[in-house]
Amino acid sequence: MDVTLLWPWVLPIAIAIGLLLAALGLWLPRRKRDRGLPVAHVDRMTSLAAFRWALLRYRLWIGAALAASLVGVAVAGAIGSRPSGISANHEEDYKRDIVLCLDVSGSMVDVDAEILGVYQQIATQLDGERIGMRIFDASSVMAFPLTSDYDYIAGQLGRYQRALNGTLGPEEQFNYLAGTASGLGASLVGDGLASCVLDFADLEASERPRSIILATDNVVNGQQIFSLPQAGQLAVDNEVRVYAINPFDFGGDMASQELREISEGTGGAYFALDFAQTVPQIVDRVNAIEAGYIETPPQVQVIDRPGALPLIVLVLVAVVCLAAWRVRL
Amino acid sequence: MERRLRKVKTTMSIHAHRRTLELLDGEYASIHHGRSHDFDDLREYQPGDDVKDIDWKATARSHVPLVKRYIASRQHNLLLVVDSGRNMAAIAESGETKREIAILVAGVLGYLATRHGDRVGLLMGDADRLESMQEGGSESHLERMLRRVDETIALEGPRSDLEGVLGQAVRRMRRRSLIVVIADDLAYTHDLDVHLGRLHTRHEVLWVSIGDADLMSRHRDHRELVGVDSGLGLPPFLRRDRGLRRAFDEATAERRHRLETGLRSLGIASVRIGDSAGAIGGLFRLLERHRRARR
Repeated sequence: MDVTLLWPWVLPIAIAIGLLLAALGLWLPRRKRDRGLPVAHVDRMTSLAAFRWALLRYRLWIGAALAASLVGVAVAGAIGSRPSGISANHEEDYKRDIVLCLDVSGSMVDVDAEILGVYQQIATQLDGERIGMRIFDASSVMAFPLTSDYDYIAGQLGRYQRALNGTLGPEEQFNYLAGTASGLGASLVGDGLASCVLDFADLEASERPRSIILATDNVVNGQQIFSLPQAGQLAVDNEVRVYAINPFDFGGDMASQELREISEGTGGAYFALDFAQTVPQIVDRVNAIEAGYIETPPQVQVIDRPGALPLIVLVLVAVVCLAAWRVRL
Repeated sequence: MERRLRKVKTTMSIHAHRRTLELLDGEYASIHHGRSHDFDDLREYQPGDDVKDIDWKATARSHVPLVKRYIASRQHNLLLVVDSGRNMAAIAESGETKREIAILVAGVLGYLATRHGDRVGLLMGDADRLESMQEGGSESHLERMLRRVDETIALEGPRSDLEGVLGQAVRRMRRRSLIVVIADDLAYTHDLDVHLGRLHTRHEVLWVSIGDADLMSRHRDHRELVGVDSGLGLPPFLRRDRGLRRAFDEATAERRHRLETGLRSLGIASVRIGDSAGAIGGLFRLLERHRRARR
């Protein structure tokens, strides 16, 4: 850590003032020397050998006091010029909110399970992020809300993953599809996305970057309240980026095209799950893209680092006081 | 306008009982010898008068002891030799200025002399100046002399040079006189010894040392002291130094002892007066010592 002087001009000023005061201190007593009671035959004292020793000691004390105060002023000036170090705190701020928005229509189950598996791993290494999950088909159901309780997240993700895989233990059997079929139709992506967008808490107040991992094939079958473009607009309005993962992109079909436009229109990205990309790779890329949004500029802090200098000043002041008391200046 | 002399008289009466003053008067009267046989008059015996001078026949007639006075005893010369240098403007042991004490000493002796009809002269000087005033017998003359002393001694004045003044006294004073040297805690030097010796062969010499102030700080003395010779202050640090104080005390005692023994070996009575309160007593002792030393 290199130390720089924040106010380097203080040091010469302090030294100049110190020298000035020292000069004054040496000069003024000379002027007031002739003040005091006149006594004759001072040689009675000054001719003594003991006087020379006492005078030497006197001068040594004064010299010590002078030197200590000069050094003290210099060191105080050094402190006054604020020796400081610059420390750049680059905090990897991952305080984002993620909602996993999973289409649980029959065709998507495998992909969903894979996504859950990936996020389950990620959840064990998170700090400060919040993850929520919503599943939808004809209607959407909140699996669990945004939370930073990672044990809970991992537990829920595991539970859904096993449910999707059909590997639930006998003790934890539950119908993960419950509540997803109350709408008219199936795989109502627009409604699902819209409700996922509204899952973020404090849409107005929170500054946290928001993103949605939307896993769907966008094969809508039924009457939606929100069309996908409307849901996308809602996401744009609320600064939510949508990362769409489509396992059934055959290249150029209308549904995939629409999903791509919508997701990219929110500032997110579109991933076709094919041979080139696996789910973990996609999630990595999503995180990489998100990192660009959440990366905070390095926090540059200027910290005063006087080190031991105040202690030295303290000791020097003590020396000056001692000398002044001893010599009774 | 006899302020100074009046002050001297006042101090005398404040610091001395009437009896002491009478004693002092008698003491002064009896220090002269070589009296003539020209009878002048009779006066009442004063304590301190020489018993030999009592006129027993006259005493028997008048029921009070009467002493004979001789004409010669009325015409003595008293010469006050005063150091007028700046040393005398310094403070004395008591904190008064040495000038005040010197004027008091000179005034008391001069007043005694004028009362006895003697003539008082003044010789004062320092390194640059030498001033003498002719002998005179009146109180106004004495007052003038005291005023001169008061005016001459100043801190801005020249350095003291008592040896030089005494050398001048040896050269100038032809007429046999009683010489009172008003000095301070001088170092007894060879020159001083020579001059005093010469002076003492012709005259009777008395020595008054006005005690100089203590240079060491004792009993929480926080005064600032400045040497009149050098104009340099004495730092309180040095004045409080124990080792220096011991050495100073030894050196001071040694210095005084040398002065006293030197003067005694010449046959000169001396006294050291540190304050105006002790001046009368000191002068009394001085005259007594002088009388004893002579006989």
